[in-house]
Amino acid sequence: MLLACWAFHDEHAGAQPIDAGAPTQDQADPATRVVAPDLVRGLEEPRGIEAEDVALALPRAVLAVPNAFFGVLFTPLREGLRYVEKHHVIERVEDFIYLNDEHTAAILPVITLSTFFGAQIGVQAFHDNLGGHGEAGRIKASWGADREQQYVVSFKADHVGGSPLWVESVTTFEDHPSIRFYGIGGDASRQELARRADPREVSVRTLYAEQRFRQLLTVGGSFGEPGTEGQIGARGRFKAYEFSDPRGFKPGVDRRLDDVYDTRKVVGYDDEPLVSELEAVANVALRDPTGKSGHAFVGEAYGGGALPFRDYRYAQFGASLTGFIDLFHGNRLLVLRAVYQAVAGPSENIPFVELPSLGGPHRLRGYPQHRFLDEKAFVATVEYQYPVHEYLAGTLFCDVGEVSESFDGLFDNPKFHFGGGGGLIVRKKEKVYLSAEIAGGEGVQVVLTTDPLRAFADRDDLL
Amino acid sequence: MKRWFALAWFCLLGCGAPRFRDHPVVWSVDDTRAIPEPEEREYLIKPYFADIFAMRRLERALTLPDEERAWNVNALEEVPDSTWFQNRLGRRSMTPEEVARGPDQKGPPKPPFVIKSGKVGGGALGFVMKDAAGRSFLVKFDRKENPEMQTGSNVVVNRLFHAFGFQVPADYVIDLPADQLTIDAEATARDEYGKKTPYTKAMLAEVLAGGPPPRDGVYRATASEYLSGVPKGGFSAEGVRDDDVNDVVPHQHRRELRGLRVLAAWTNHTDMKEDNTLDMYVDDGGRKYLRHYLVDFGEALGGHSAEKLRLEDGYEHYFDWQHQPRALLTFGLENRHWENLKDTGFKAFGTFGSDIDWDPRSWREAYPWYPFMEMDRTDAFWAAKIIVKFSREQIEAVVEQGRFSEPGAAKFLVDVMEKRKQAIGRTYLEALSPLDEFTVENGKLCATDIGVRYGVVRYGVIERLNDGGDVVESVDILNRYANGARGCVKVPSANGYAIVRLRSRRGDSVKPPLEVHLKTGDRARVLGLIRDP
Repeated sequence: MLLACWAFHDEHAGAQPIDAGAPTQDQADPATRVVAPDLVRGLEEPRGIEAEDVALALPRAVLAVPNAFFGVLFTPLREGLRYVEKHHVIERVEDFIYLNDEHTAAILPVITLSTFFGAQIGVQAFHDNLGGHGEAGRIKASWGADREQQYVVSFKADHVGGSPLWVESVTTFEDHPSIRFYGIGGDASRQELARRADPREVSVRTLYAEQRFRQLLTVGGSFGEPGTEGQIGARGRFKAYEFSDPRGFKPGVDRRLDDVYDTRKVVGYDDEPLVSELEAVANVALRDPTGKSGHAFVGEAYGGGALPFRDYRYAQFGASLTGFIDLFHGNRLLVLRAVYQAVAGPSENIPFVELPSLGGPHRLRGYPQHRFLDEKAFVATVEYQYPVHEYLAGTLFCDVGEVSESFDGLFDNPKFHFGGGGGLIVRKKEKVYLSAEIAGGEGVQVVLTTDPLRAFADRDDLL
Repeated sequence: MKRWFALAWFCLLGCGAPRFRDHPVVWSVDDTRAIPEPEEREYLIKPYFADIFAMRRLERALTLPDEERAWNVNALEEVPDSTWFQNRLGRRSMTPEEVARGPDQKGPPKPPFVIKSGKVGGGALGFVMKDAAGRSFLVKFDRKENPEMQTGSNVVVNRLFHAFGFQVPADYVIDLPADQLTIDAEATARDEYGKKTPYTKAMLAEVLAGGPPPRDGVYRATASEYLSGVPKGGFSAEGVRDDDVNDVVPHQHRRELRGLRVLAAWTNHTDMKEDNTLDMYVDDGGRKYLRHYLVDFGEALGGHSAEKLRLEDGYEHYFDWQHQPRALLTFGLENRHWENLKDTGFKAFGTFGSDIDWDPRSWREAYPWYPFMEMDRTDAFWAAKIIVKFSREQIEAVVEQGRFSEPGAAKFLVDVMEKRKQAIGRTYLEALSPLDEFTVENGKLCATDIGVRYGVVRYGVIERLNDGGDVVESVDILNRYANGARGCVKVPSANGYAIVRLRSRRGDSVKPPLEVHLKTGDRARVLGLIRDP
């Protein structure tokens, strides 16, 4: 940019010329003049049109159009933000919805968005500190997403009354209008056969509806101190299922489960199973309590089985190990996770809904939900997380998983399924707000969800 | 290339090489004309942040702003005195005591203290009180995690800004004995809706409990004396105030606000935003006008980083469209400079000063401040020129005002400020020919090599160039002590007006030439300077 030329007012004519500079700046400079502030440069020529202004005139004229558009677009946003702040709208809303000053109790609307599951809206009442030690009680009703209806009553406390007593009680009713069923086993052919196929022989996308009631009670103990924490306990679970034709079914596009498969071989489908389970559970978490290092280890294990009830008898067990390896500066993390889940027993005694499954945004990304289903399932994840902003992290991940009828079958003749991709996580230290992932596997899945905590939900939410 | 293109256009438009009129240099501007009382500008953080990070940022980009030189510089490319800026260290000597005293006229507040109201806005806890003499002060406390950080930083940086030339309030680190503190019966606070409520003992207890514990019943705090006049809100980062006829230079084109970036970098004053500026409607013997202040330096040095738990503070804008997308696309493989910061071991400084390779060009304010984006190398040179004039003794005297009690803390801070000062000198002074203080003596043009004079480099050469750019005369500047690092060159014969092209040489490295415009003849004198033609 050329130097701007400035006119100098005639009012200064006749002033005594003096030497403008001085060897030492201590000397008072008698040249002090009082002029209008934009006329101080003292050049002979008035300010001309600047060359760059001429050169940029046309592009500026062109860009004035989108600029005007954004001006119109931003005006209500600006005014909205002004209104919100000036009238303390957020504070008023918080005061309205929270029932106490600590903001631990409220009746809140629930709105979650997920490109994978859809939108869910509802309402929940909660108190996250019932006894003063983080005891959380919650009643929630929601509609939408993959569940047409969901009702949850829960109480969770790692330290009831500040004691080591760990208690969790969750009661849910869910109505899933359309769940996918692709047959059972990883080796099933994708070839389409005639009606009433054996689910172990054919893998075709079909749909069914499911209503389920579940009640869970965990009692145990929490131990350890910051940095080394764990829990051990016993868990009882009661489940009741009802299956029916899918709703929202599109003839010619979708197929019903019982249109394709021999439902006598889909154990439990015709029975509306009732299942009671008892198991031992344990988990441990090791991490740097100072937070300086990202190194951490989280392990979970369970083992138990179904109580004799109707004809369903099986054992179930599983373990997951997750290691967080601090690659650099405590914020480039390599996350390694391995999950093994199994049910064991005569196949005809294991309801198909109790079989571990793979697929979906939480277990084997890049594949549809419940894509693979069998008695044994293994999935491993390698994920790299790196910081972008205080509240934003990037991820690159690769999942590999397989299901099989037997443990040996998982590894003897492996047919691993791979999914991989990358994404963004909007988070605070203590909370994940939003995640967006794109994953490739069997096609490409884009998942944007405001409910990413579902990724960490336990088996009672997903399996 | 760009310059040649511009020059071609300029010539096409009929504007020749700039020449200065034969007039005295302007060292003061009249921006104190009486004006009607203006409206108070409101500061609303949500729309403000939405604008500086996104909306206004986008609109601004679509206007294709070009590089424009600062508008308010005089013939010597200096900033004249005004209601915005007063030349202090840049134009005259100051004793360390004078620098350390800052704007102080009456000394720190004297007990007993009476709380008049709660503090509104800002992150720090505090209140407004009156002292025994009836003077009003805004009182703020340190955070519990970083004793002496905000109180010390505030006063140190306040003094440096004042000596640099900005208008700042009189701030003090004070001892606040709990038994000398009472609450006025009429004292008020504002609730979350901005409604006035009585100021209670519980509120005071909460404020006092939020900071470090007292020593022998005495709390440490910073007291900022109320400025005279009526507050009219902060000044905008761009444009002018519509209701102030004295405000004629768009703020983004004010050199002092653009060069402030270098001063802010030196002191790591990342919390630069409208909320930390203040226009006061002052009564000057019946003439009322606006005077412009910078306020609240408590989050400078390591303060903002510690309060926000952001190591990247001073290196990236809060939302940084340059660094953060790059971090995303490079998958975290880039080692971002701030990630190497270590705790200094001083609670008052956090990580400030641990960056041994600090590059002032890499410095970023937390919240984008438009004048900083407009800063060019002549603005930076101007600011650096003032900063390198701060002597170690002056910095020591200023740091003493921070009353840092950790052993070695004061010396550490002085050392850090010295190192950063040198880095600024190397970066911004040496980016151009660091020649200044031009005079005509005995028919010769004399100049000081301020790079040598202030210890940025050990020695240098002043070269005079002819119109073709060839060196026709060289003068060695051997060291800072020899003749005050000054050298003189011949003035070419001319018919009343001469342009002398000079440049500095550092070994093999030559600096861009500058132009000194002279009136020649019997009463030869310097008419003007074009630092970066």
